[in-house]
Amino acid sequence: MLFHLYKSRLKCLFKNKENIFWSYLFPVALAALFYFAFTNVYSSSDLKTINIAFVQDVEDENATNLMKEVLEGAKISDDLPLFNVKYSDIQEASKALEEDEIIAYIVSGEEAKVYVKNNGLKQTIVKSFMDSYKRAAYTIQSILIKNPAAISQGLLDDVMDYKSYTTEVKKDAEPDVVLIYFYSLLAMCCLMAANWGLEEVTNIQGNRSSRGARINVSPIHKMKLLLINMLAAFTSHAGSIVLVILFMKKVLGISFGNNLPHLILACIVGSLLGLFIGVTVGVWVNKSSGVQGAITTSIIMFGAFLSGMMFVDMKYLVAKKVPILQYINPVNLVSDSFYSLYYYDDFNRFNLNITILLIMTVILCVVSYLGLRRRTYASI
Amino acid sequence: MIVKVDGLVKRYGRLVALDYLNFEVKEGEIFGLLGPNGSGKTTAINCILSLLKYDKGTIEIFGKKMGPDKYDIKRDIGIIMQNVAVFDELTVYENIYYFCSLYINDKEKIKEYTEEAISFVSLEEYKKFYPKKLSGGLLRRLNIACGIVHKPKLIILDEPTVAVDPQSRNKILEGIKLLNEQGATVIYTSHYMEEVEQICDKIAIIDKGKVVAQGTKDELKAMISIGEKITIETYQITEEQIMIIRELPNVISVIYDNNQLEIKSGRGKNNLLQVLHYMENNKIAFGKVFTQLPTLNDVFLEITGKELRD
Repeated sequence: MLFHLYKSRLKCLFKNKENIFWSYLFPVALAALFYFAFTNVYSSSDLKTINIAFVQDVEDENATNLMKEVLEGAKISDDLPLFNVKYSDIQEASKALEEDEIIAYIVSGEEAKVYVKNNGLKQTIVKSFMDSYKRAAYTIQSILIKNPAAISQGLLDDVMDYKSYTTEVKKDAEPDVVLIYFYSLLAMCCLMAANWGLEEVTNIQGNRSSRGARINVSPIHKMKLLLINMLAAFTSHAGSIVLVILFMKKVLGISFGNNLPHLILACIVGSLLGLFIGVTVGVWVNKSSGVQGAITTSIIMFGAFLSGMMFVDMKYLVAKKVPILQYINPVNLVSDSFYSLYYYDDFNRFNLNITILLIMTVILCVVSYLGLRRRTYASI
Repeated sequence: MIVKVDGLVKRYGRLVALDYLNFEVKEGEIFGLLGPNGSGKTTAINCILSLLKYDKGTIEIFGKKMGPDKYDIKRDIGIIMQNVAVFDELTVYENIYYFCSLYINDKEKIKEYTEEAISFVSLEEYKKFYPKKLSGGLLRRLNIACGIVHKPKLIILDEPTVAVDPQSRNKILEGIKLLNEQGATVIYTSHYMEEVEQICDKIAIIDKGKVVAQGTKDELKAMISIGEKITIETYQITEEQIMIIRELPNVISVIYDNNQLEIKSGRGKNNLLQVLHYMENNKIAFGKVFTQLPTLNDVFLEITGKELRD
């Protein structure tokens, strides 16, 4: 009879049009939107060299030379530089910007400044490039304060040596910022299982619905029924994850590396954790179903935001400012698992992420169990 | 004893929902819990079913203490809630089958019981309908079928006829009688006194979480002073004449409103005759005349000082 209960629940889930929309159609639509929004933005093939001016405003020759070197060294492809740098004074640069001869001019100083006339893709690229440069400069500065000898130990060479940074990366994997968006999206989809978990626990609680009351009065063990219902929810959710992966991979051409079993494992663990997030909110947050739903969605969406789904630099910002958040944000752990599968040959980072996710799942499972067992309600 | 509720107290903060509630339900009875909205009927049922925590008291069902994990007791209870508790995504047949499978493991038996329950509530033509396609009355019948499909020994119905058309209401009440004849003990809560009078063997009148009176309907009616209610249609009666009628032997109260003279008399003979005799002698013209025995509303009114429907 357990199989019949599972089948009936599955049927209920698939007949719920709202659930189907949010689980199956929404992620696919969002992936398509991401594709059209981001792929072109970050596509190097459409980019042309950007005319900029450089104004030297400090005496520090070393710093200025380094910046010049970096600007001149930036490339769109092997034979196409990113910037065409013109050196001038501030009046000339300002005039050139006014007459649209250049897109932006950079004034070097203690804090380099970027001046633009309009908003646009090219201006954003200049701005992003300089932000990255400032971050790298800040890192070098921090190291030198702690260890001034680092400069003589080849710090700058290390920083400039791109090869040393890419030795751990797979040979066939090209760093691609767009992937972070798609991996975060897929991670969010996995964690969105929280909504299913919330619905399942709501259905079996006597104070939440008449059906819940009827189920509570029946002789079936509530935990057993919850497990059956969650299994049905997981089946339905797994379908949505398969669909979104297939869509991303086959239609949008997003690469997930070549390690399918590990990818599936990350999706399963992420979805399980999602289910139990929903169950925990359903059990312990004694508010209306609407409020519970809002809390669940907020947890996931905020996690997705911190993992870089809406703004890719957020991932790095979190890593720099509040590194602990990386390890407690489930969306980040799942998306980072995908990312580590794509970039790294070894599974150290992947294993760490999956272990943390599993620990979180077990904790939420126990917490939910403690809240649900032998429960009677103060009010119905 | 099938159900024994002893000294049950349930508080919501400062509000006392159940105030040392006591009653017993014997095997084979249809036991009515009658009271106005908010009197504590549903709270009492939820406590009996261990859905709700309570502050004091004990509840025994089938001679055993009831609790959330007493699955052996739950196996023999059927519950029909005030709100329809079915799955919108499953058909009539699938819903009944699903709820039966929460109680029974044998597939063949589930099928057999499901068919029987469908036939019991006369939903044969609607087997493949989804709940949203059913009228209010049919939906209530489906709700009942889901509650009784596993042939429970104790059936608890909490206001099952709210917002139901008269035809479906009669069908439901007949069904409850039939289930009782087949051996089930029934607890029936309602604020419709006519329904409770019609089907219940024993009635507990409940107000502010307390049983204010209990017994058979005749025992309850015998508790109050009113023996008869006389209503006379008249268009020309003076205040003075009303005062004189009020002074007649055995008359308890007289109200004249909307051309209707309503006289409540105590138990005894010739109550109607003496009033009609006075009216004839004083040439007071009158139209329709009818008398009524006291209702449960009168019982409630006399005990609590307010109408049952307040």
